[in-house]
Amino acid sequence: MSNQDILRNRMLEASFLEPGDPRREEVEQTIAREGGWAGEEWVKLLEENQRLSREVAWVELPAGLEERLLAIGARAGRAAAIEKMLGSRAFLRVAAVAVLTVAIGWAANLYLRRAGPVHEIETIAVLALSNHVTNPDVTVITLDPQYLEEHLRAAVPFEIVMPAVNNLSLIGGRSESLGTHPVVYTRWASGDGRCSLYQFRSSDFNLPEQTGKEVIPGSRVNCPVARDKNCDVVIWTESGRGYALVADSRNALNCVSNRGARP
Amino acid sequence: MSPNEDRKDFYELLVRSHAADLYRFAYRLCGERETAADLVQETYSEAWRSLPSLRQPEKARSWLYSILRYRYAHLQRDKGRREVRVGPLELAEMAVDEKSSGLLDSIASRDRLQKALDELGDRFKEPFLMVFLEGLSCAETAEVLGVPLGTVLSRIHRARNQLRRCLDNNENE
Repeated sequence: MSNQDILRNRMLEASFLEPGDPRREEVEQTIAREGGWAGEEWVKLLEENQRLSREVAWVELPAGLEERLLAIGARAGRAAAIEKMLGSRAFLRVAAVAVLTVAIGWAANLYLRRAGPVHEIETIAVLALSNHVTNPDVTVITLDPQYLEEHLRAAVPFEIVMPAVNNLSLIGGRSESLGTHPVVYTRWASGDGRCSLYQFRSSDFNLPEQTGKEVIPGSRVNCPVARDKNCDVVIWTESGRGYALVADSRNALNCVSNRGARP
Repeated sequence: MSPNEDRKDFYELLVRSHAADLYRFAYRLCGERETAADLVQETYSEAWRSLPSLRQPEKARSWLYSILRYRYAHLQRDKGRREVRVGPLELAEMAVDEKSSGLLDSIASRDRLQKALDELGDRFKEPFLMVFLEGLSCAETAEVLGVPLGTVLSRIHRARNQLRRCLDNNENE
């Protein structure tokens, strides 16, 4: 195998590592020393990776998939609970208060409906936080929001509009889904930290078209993978566009104050 | 909160966080929508049963993918090699008119991509999808598949060439 072929293999391997990964940086330094063909091939490789990732990930999801899968847990949970109850001396006591519980639950449901889409906000917060921790990769690497919008435009069924932000630098983005709903995911640098911003359709999550910014402390979100990450989630909607920002608890609301400028 | 409620909440999080990506991976593996949905359902059934034994919740995503790949391998062993075919276009459900012709072209070109993937065969398709969809590094893919890193790189290289030709043909049409 020639030296060129060896470098090509190393480039292919490194192209899947995150920018900033020491192994990738080592290869990039070799490319810089090699110059000429290596630099051109490297750029072409990265662009092609993004294109292939986009194309391969474009798959229409079946309707009702999540509901089918959630039903597995619900059925199994009910079966286990029933089995335990029937074998328990407390079964009769449980049966006796069941009617009261149903009545209270019905009243609570009425209250929650009047109070607003609390469950949907919590769902978005959990998904956004989990994704921020477990899947921060981007398929389009750019500092330019317009470049990002042009390259992701075809991947989502809504207009991509960056909200006003403070002191954040764009790293890149990708099309994504929260649950089964399409979102645009963008990654931002905030000093030494990182933020994740999601744009989605407010109607997909049954949210009003216009809401104020709501901060959901990460400590109150039931998200095991993000337990020690000290992040908060800010959720709001503007003209039918929904946004969720995940950032360090100190910075979350400051990143999207009303005085920020649109990038 | 009881252990059972914790389990249910965590399971719900796994569904909402990863079901869509798992389905995409399953579809690209097997090329059939119904089979992909079944694979994902089997994966989550297994996940529910085995959830109490998951010691590292932060690795839940890779755990789910490994279950799915195992289920797929099981399926391939049981049913033998499937005849390669293009995934369903559901043309019968769509009225063909001027407005939808662009969408049909787009769907047709996506299915050509799936056909190109299917023609690769599992040897080349699986490492390619593990890197591009599952998000593993090449070294991790080699470890999971039990092959040398160089083998993974050459298989991905071949898969890329085939798919690049397919996508370039789509653009030229």
